[in-house]
Amino acid sequence: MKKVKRYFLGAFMSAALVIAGCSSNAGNKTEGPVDISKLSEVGDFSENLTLNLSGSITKGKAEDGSYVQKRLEEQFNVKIVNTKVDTWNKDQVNLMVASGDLPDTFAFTAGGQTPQQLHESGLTRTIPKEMLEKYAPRYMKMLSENPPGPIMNLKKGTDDQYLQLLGQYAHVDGLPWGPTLRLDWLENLGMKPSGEMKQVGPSGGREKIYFTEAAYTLEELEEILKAFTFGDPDGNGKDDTYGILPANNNLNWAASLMGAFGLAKGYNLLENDKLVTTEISQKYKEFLKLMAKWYDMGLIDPEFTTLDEKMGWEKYKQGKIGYYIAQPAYIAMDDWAKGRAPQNIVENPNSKAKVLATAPEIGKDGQQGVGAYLPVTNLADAFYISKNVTDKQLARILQIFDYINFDDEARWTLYGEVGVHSDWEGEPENSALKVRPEFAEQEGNSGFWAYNFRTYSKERVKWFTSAYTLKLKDEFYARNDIKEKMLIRPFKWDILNETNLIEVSKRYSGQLNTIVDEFRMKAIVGEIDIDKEWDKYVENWMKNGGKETLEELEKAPEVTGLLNNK
Amino acid sequence: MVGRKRFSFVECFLMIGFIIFSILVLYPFWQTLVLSFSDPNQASSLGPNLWPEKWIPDAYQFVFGYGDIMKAYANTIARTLSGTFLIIVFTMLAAYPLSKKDLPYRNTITIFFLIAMFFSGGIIPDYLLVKNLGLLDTRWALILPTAVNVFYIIIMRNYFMTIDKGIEESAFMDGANYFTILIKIILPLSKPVIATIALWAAVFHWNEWFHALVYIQDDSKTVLQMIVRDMLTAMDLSQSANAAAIGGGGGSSENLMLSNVRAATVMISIGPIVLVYPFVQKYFIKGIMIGSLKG
Amino acid sequence: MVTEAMTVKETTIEIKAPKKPIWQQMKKMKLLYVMLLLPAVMLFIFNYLPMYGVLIAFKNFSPGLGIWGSPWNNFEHFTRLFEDFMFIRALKNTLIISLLKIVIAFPAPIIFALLLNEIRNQKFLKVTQSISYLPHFMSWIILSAMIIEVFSPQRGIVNFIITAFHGNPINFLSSKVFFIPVLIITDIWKEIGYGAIIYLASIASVDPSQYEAAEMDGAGRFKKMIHITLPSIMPMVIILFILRLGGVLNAGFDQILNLYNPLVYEVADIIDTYVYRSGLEQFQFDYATAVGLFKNIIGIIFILGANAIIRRKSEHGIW
Repeated sequence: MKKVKRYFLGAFMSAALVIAGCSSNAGNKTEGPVDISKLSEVGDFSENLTLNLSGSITKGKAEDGSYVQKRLEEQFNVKIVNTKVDTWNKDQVNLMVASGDLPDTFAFTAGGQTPQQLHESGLTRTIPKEMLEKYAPRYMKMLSENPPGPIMNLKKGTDDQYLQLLGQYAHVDGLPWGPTLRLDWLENLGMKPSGEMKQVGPSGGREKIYFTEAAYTLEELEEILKAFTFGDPDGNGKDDTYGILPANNNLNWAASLMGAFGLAKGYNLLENDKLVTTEISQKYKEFLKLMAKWYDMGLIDPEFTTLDEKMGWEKYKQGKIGYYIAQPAYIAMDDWAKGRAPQNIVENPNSKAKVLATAPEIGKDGQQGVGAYLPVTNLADAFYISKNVTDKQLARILQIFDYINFDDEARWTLYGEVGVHSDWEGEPENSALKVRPEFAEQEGNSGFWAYNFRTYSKERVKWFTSAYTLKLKDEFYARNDIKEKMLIRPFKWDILNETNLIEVSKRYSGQLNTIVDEFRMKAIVGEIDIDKEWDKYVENWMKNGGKETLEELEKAPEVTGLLNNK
Repeated sequence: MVGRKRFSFVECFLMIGFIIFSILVLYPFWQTLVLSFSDPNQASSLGPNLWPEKWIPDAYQFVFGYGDIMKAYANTIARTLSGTFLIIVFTMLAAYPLSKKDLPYRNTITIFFLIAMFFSGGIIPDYLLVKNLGLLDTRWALILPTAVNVFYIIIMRNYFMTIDKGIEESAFMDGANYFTILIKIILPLSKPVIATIALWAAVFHWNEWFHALVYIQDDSKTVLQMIVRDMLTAMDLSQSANAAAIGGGGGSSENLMLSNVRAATVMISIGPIVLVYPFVQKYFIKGIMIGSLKG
Repeated sequence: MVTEAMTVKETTIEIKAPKKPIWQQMKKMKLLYVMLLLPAVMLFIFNYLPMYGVLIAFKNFSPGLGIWGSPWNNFEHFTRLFEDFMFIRALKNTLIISLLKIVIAFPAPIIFALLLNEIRNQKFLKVTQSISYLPHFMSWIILSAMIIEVFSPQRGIVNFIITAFHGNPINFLSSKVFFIPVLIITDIWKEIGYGAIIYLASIASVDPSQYEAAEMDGAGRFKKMIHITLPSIMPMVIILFILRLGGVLNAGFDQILNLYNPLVYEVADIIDTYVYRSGLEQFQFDYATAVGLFKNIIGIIFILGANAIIRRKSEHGIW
């Protein structure tokens, strides 16, 4: 009996090992220097290659034989194998990696690994600078125009082996946020602003949205919020309005208010010659005290504690809130921003509401601004090449990459031919492109975006941004002197991956965020006395990973240095 | 029921209580229904909406145009029926032997089952297993890995244990074997618990999306809840609107809010499973077992 | 109850009877083993084979290296759990919320089923049952928006009633005192009807002649409920109770995630929400697996304990 048992156990176990799939798929090809002269010339596509491609943030919905696929296959003499994985989905991605079916190119991370870790665990190969210069010259040009681009993402210990390729983010250029006020309320209260006001657009609700370059000081804003709260600005005879409605799940609502203190969420600064993060700086303490004062005065809607940003938008739409933060595209009423405050209040054609967007509030010493969307330079995202890709394949991949992402002639890979697949929303070449409804906007039967990397030059930004937003950005939000003056960047940033910040933040961010969020909320609603609790809060923060974070940050380079290192 | 008063004060009191309770429970359902038919302005305003200003079916048009929702519907129904059947069969096959107290090694076997309830290897080995068995991207992947449910087995076993042994004993005397006893005697006596577990299993298969997410790649095999999930987790409508366009259809999303669409999705997705209950319900009526006991 | 007693007697007799050799008994019951074979094999394939995956909890998992290839890490994930005071707080909150739910929300469907059983009007009974089961199908994403509205200090009906009686509006969902009661009430509200189904099924199998006999003895409504109906569903109650204890560290992730905010973290942040918020679930399979393993081990300890206690008092343990 026992023998039989043992036999069965053995059989089961070996079956287990086979069926359960205990294969490890870490290939370990050695990476030597590439003899570039042996590779084909640029534009020589005589050999047909099979490539398994995926773009970035693709959903795995590209159909075989789509318009873009066929055209690319012809142009570059390749056979494209589509990747049927939703790259938004971490489970699908992890499973794909675990089962060893990585596509040749991909733009997602697996298991939250850094580029260095992905390389070390045998998933990606490096991309030699020499090959990039030969096969992707436009990409290299873009990099060199965005310092410190060319020295980012190098494999540790090398100066010509890149771990990943980067995308250009021209669409986030400029101030990401700016404050707005209810203009009709200001008028009702007789507080009409003095500066020049311009309508954002002629119709569609945009005629009810105004913009001014003038800014209020925090003191002036406080007076306005007071009047908004207690002066019955909507004239309904009831005391049912509030100045400002924060959100309970993020700090977007305070982007420009914090800017008036010289702060931006998640960044760091030098305070009394000491490196501190925003969340433990004295300036942040001052900011919190102001918010607590406003809450105490009744200017802040107390319901904010239960409303996240999205519910906040809905509440704003009811017309009881005077102040709200907005991105330029919200004010310009771009399609994707539909339903978001503050533009949602003018969406209804019968709405009498008017909105005024102003420049960021002015704090002490004339400080005003908003945190930059990206800390150092407008380069982001990651495009990886799988370990299995040979130099010959890489040469072809890079040429495709350079063409579809950096040659504006390749617009057809995103929108097809204008007049066939898509149309200009307004003025040709100067407004957004709309894909016709019979074609998939992305992937699907058209294959648009299916192989593209998310990189947006200034020219490409135009293809998906309304003329109104572009105008607002040109005239103010992304004007050079405004950017120079008002964009808040961190003091130090580990953009070259020289420190262990990523590991440290992976390990401690849960604790630290909890401490910070809890303190912020309690401070604002007056559950705790900020002055009394501050030191304890900072100490707690330091003890739970803050110290380690600061130590790593110290090792990182200064952002000004990085930006000037042309 | 002879000689029982047809109506009493206590019962009247209870009924009032249940009516109030029903209203409380119906409220979210009603609110969702109203929301799904409201125009976007109303849908995006906070506060209770007990009646839409206008009944607008746009949200439903949008959802029905999303991907191949009819196909997903059919897939879900097929999956629910076959999956429930499998679960019932396996649950009965395991529960009946385990209900026998004199079965040698009964405790060992019970523990063998129980351990599986608490330890799982996680999704990666599960996936590799399904892949190596060749089940990936097949409908089997949705019903086989969940066919043995230890929780259900224990519930059913417990129920079997309360069945009068006398009937079984006499059947034994008549020369019946365990298998015929299970089918001919235990099964009819256990209708309420089988109905309950069938309902649980059906609800499970109806609502399950994770396996579909990781095991199914072919869109034509996708299930309803995948679409529901897309809608509920999408941050804004533009994301799902893109997806709708991918599906090659979709009503105009111009006049919709995410909250409309979500509400409509919920209504569409729960419809059929909610209608199942009244059919199962008859097995819960008191006294139903009396006939079988005598038979 | 009569049948119950008989079964119990029989088994005791069997145990006392001179033992037949085990293999003889096994031979007699071989058909039962054949029945068990299919589910057991399925269970082995789909649950036991992949179980090596728990190793991830003890490794620094890298998808490229696979589960076997990833390096061991000296229980680092577990030491990390207990060095993190936020985790300790979340563990405490989880236990409190979960135990409160077990004490208050677990009996609710039982009471509901017993009371429903007292209704004689079949139509009314059926409709009530069908309605009570509806909220189970609504997801917390949808329900939370409504709950936030109902409890809103400005527009909510609850505060409307409070102010009508000259009270001050309460921000229930931001209050450390009221948040947990709201959790429990809404949990009952959502699950009571669905949870009652199994008890209604058990009640349905009670032999009506028992009621008739009790009536003959002059037992009233309440007496019959306590002495016949309740004992008849007791085995089911006990087994569900033990199994519920196994999930003692699941305090309702979806519900809390959709209702809480930083002001109530102190009482409402549970293990699952904390791990979720840390972004760990997103990226760290190994850590998430370690947390899951920890939760299951605690669950098993609870089950073993409860089973042992209940075995001592009655016949109705899991084994």
